[in-house]
Amino acid sequence: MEYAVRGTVVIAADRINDELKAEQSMGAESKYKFQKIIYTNIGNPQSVGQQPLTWPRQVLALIDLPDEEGINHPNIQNIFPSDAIARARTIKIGLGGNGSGAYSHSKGIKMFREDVCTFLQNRDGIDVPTDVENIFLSNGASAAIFNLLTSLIADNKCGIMIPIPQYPIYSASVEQLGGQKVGYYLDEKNKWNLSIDELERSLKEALENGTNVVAFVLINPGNPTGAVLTKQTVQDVVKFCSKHNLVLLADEVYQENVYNEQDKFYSCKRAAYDCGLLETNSIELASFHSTSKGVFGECGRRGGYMELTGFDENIKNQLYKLASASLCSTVNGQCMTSLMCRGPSPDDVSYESHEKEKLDIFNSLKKRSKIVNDGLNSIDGFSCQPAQGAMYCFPSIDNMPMKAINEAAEQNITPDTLYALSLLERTGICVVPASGFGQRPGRYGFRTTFLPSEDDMAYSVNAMKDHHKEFCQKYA
Amino acid sequence: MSQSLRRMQYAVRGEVVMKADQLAAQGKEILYTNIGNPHQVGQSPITYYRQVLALCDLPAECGVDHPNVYDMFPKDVVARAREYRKDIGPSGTGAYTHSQGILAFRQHIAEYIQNRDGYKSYPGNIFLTNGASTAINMVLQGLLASNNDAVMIPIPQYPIYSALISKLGGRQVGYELDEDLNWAVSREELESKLETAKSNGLDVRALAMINPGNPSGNVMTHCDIQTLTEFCDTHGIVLLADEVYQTNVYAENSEFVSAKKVALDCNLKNLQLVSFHSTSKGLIGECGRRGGYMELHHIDPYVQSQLYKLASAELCSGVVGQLMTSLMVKPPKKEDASYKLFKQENDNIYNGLKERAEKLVHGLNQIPGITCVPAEGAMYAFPTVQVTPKAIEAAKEQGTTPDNLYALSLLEMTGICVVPASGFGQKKGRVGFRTTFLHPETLKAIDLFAKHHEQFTKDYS
Repeated sequence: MEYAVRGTVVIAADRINDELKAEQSMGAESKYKFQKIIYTNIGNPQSVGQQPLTWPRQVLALIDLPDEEGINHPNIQNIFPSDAIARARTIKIGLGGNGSGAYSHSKGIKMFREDVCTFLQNRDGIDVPTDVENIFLSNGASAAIFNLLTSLIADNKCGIMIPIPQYPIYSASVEQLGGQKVGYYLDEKNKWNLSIDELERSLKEALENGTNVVAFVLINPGNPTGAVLTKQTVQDVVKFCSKHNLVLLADEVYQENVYNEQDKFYSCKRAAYDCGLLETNSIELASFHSTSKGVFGECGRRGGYMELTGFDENIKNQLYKLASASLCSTVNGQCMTSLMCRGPSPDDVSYESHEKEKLDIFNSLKKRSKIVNDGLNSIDGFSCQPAQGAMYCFPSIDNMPMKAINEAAEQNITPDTLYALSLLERTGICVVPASGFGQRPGRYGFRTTFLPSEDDMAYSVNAMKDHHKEFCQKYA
Repeated sequence: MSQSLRRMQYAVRGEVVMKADQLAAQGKEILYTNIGNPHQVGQSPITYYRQVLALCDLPAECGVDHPNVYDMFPKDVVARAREYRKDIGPSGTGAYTHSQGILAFRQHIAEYIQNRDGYKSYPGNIFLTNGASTAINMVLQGLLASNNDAVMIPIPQYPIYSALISKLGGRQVGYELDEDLNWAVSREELESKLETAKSNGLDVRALAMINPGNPSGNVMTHCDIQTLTEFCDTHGIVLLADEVYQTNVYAENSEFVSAKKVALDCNLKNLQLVSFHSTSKGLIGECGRRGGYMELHHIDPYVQSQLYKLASAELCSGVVGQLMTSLMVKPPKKEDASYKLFKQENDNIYNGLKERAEKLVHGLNQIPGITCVPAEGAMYAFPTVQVTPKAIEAAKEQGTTPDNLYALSLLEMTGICVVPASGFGQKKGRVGFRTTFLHPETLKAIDLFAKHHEQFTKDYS
């Protein structure tokens, strides 16, 4: 099992970071040409300067404080706004008088699951049915994804269709569980779109090899690709899964990160409804969302949920049993999920400032996505599809020198790992080699976030340009 | 669908509990004594911890730097929160942390372990996790490679072990604790079970011990811990020491001593050991916070690197859980202004638990047909109940265990929700249940246990 997002290059970056700190504290001269590491390896917004949203943090604090020290404290209005207090009161009732410290129901606090349903109804329309019993609140989307894959992979003949490239939790989990990875290529030249022909091809090949293909993973908006799929494409995917009896895992954690006006996030659930598949109960769909992305960026909170649609009671009971063996997900994270799904109402005192905070973060992400995308495309030898959504750019290095490829082989690492390590040593920028996500043979590249500050990203793009020239010269 | 998932059972939230939930939904009053979930049954959170936590989550301008902060928060709480905010770093409580958890918190834990045991502890060997359950899952995932890999587990045990072993496709090998000798461990029993396992082609990779015991409630003697550590050392078996109840010790002559201390006292140079702790138990009872850690000792560096990889694939555990774990091991000091209230709250909780532990066990022992080993620690009484042959037959006919039948009957008649002893494993022919003594009204239940037992015996005579 490999998980490149915190793999070789990152471990090297941490080592260099420690060296830099030691050098700086001793006032020694550095052997490096940079003063700090710029971590662009991981979608961890608050670690690179993004501020938390205020109102959710206020509500959380009030939920954790015992009543006499919090919501019932005589001086509370001197510090907390009335709507945070009111929401905390409501939530405390929803916690059943047990507070945020007790184990909750293994699917999560019912009130929070109801908030998720409200969010889903607002997003997909009230015609698309929701049910609190189909929602499992989890420690981030990761935990729910892993639990579902655990239930699906019965033996080593079971196969899961995974996009190439993909966010490596899928390959890591399938490997760990002893299943088969059945890769389907995304089309780089076509903005990383997917084609049904490719899906059919991949499935056919797997079946011919004796693999029992049971599920299909879709990441939309894409990670690492940044692609936002069209309505048509999403509908094609749900129909494909229904036709072939594949459980559809819809990783939709970046649904709030869609930057162009002309692109719209279209959920797999809405697609299933529009194709009539919900009515006829002809699809098993698991949709995942998280508090780690969007504009909340509450990664360390471990908030997230899985919504099951079209699963029979038996399977849901097994999933409940699995969830119950870990008792419950962190109540704090469950709460953040509910606050993400249902913010202050328009007539609440914090509404305007909350909306402004969110919009400012969104606009900043949008701006940086463009700076980095354009910057990478201006580098000779690089080509980068537009980052329509998510938090990443995934450029391809079109002119990787042959000598570098050979040296990498000698060192028993991939060429893009060699490249990423070189980039790190020369510039302090820590990216993730594209081989960590999967790609067509002969393609090389890396994934970078655009989360650090505008200044850091501007520096990074220039540094990448300089480094690329040097690298190509070195291995000419 | 995974067959191992189908086979997996977790009685603590199993059949009897689901029935109880159904009855509760219909309006019946239920006394839940099935789960160690203190805050659900009226135990209050520790004020100081919640105040520091709140100030760590609040953006500085809304919290520690707010001009009116002292209108609501004591000065020492604000000072401690500032320290923690520095430890956490500018990313705050919202960012993913190091996959083993924030270094400063791991340092606090290492200091705690060092002070407790008198032996060095290294932050690099500590993993902060979403409750001890997650850490146990991680280690078992790392150890169980094939269907012949086995883990020795105590009979009776907290069923996370059997559940996870089952889920991971491994095999469990039970070693019986001796109820007549206060749930003691014997070397003969361990060797005998290992021998049998080997002859069945199993490769025993690890052994789980729970001290203080769950469900058994005993606080292990130094001698018994030594037996286990020596056994594991001799046979190259990884010892998993579940010590989540280490601060729940009530009996006068009992003292918690860690497996690590015993191993080092006995100079067991080769013993591979993983120890687990949690914020869910003790007097802190922060179950829903999902705080906990594991400490690796003499674990092969390659294995440790693989555990790191597993941890990194889920990025990190919840930051507030990590924070609560640090607070648990670094309480306010005597000179702090909040210390008085802190001590009062802790003492109240401790004294309540201690009193109910003694009185519940005493009360159960007064009931004809029920006997119970003293609950020296933890949160549970684990009595045996005598049932008639007719009851055993009836259970057989219904395709269930006698203690399941008993527990459902108890639930229907009295509204008390316990967990059947079969959910934990027990000697053949034994019948019983586990009940917590967390609820302040626990002692009132004694009468109901008595009445029900009389009725049940009558019904099946």
